[in-house]
Amino acid sequence: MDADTSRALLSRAIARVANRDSDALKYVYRHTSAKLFGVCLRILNDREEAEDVLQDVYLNVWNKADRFDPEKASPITWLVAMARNRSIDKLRSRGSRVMAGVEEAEAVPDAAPLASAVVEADEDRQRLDGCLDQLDPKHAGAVRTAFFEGVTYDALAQMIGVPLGTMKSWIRRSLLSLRLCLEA
Amino acid sequence: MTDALPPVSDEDRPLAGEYVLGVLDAAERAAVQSRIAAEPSFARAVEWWENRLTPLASDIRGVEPSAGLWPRIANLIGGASKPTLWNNARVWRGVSVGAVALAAASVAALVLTPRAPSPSVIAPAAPAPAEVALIKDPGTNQAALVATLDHATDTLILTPVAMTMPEGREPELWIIPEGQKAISLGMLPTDAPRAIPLPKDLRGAGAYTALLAVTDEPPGGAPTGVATGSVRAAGKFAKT
Repeated sequence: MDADTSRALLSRAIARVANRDSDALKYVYRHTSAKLFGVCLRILNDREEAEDVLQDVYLNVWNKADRFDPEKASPITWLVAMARNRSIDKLRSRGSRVMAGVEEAEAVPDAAPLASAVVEADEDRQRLDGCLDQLDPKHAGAVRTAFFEGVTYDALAQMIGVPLGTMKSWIRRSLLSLRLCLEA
Repeated sequence: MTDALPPVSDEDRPLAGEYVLGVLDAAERAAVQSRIAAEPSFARAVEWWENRLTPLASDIRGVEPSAGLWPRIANLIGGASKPTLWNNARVWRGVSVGAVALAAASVAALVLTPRAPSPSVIAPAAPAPAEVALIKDPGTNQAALVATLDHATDTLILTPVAMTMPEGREPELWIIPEGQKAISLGMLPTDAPRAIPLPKDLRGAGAYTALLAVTDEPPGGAPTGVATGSVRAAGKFAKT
C-alpha cells in the first residue's frame, strides 16, 4: 500500500471514530500503536508509563477525533504530535528521573519496521533535513536531541555540556532559521 | 563563532516552535497550552511547527505495546457513550409534546445516519407545531446542535448532538435576524439541552428566517457583547 493510500485510509478511520465507531478506533490503533508507542517510549524510557500515555492518547482520539482536520495535518502527524505532547507533559510531571538512560532508549528493538511506512510524506521530511543541514551542525544536533528526548532547556544544556544561555540561544536561532527556510 | 551571538529578544522568541520541539518547562508548557486554547493565531503557529517538525519522528522505531493494552482501551471506551440528551427533565418541562416528539425523531434520525444527516429525513412532512433546524459545523457540515422552534411557547430548544469547543472556550449562541447584527442568546451547555425564550420582536417569522450561530468564547461569554471567537456551528429554520 502506498503512503497516500494508507494516509487516506487512516484519515477516514479517524472520521469514523468521531462517530463513535469503535472498529474504526481499532483500525487506527492497529496501524499506529507501534509507531506511537515508540515515540512515547523514546521520551519516557519506561514501558509502563509509556503505555499509560498511549492509552490516554487513544482515549483522546476517541473523544476528540472530530478535531482532526485532514486539510491541516496528516493523520500520523496529528497522532504523533499528540503522543509527543502527552509524553513530554508526563516527563515534566515526574520531575527528577528526567535524565534516565539515553542509551537504553536508543537500544529499543525495532519490532515493527513497517510502521514508519505510514509516516509523514517523504517530501516534508526531505525539506526539513535540507533546512537542518543549513544550520551549524552543533545547533542542528541540539535541535534533534531536543526533539527526541523531549527534555527542558536546562536538561538539554547539561546533556550537551553547554551553559543554559548558550543552549537557549542555539535553539531559538535554529528555530528562527528553520522558520525562514521552511517558509521559503 | 555563533556561540557569541546576542540572545534572541523576547519579542522574536519562537515560542510555538519551542513548545513543539519540547524544550519548555512544565509551567511554560501550561502557559502555552492555555494560549493555544485562547488564541487561534497562536494555535495555528503551533500547528505550523507540528507539521514541520514531526516528520523527524520517522527516525523513531516502532515498538509493539503489550497485547493487553488494546483490550484495556476497548473496555474503557465500551463504557463511554454519547452524552445523554434526554435526562434533563427541567429543560423539557413546559415544552409542547409535539416539539419534544419532533426533536426526538430528528435526533434519532441523526443517530441512525450520522455521516449524512439528509435534511429530507428530518424535515416534517406537514406543518407541525414546532420546527427543527440543524445547526451544523461549517467545517465538516455535520450537525453540532438540533434547534427546535416551539411556536406554542415561543421557545427555542437547543440540543447538542456533537458540539466540541477548544479547551478553555465555551459555546455562545447568537441569533442574527436577516440584515441585522447578531444578538447573543447566552451560553450553551455542550452536554445537555437548553430552552431559551425568543426575544419578543423575533417571535413568528423573524426567528424562522434568522441565522443561528454558535461561536467559541471565553467562559462567561464574549466580554463586549460582540462575538470574538470562530463560528463553530450555524444554521437556520428556513430552507434556502
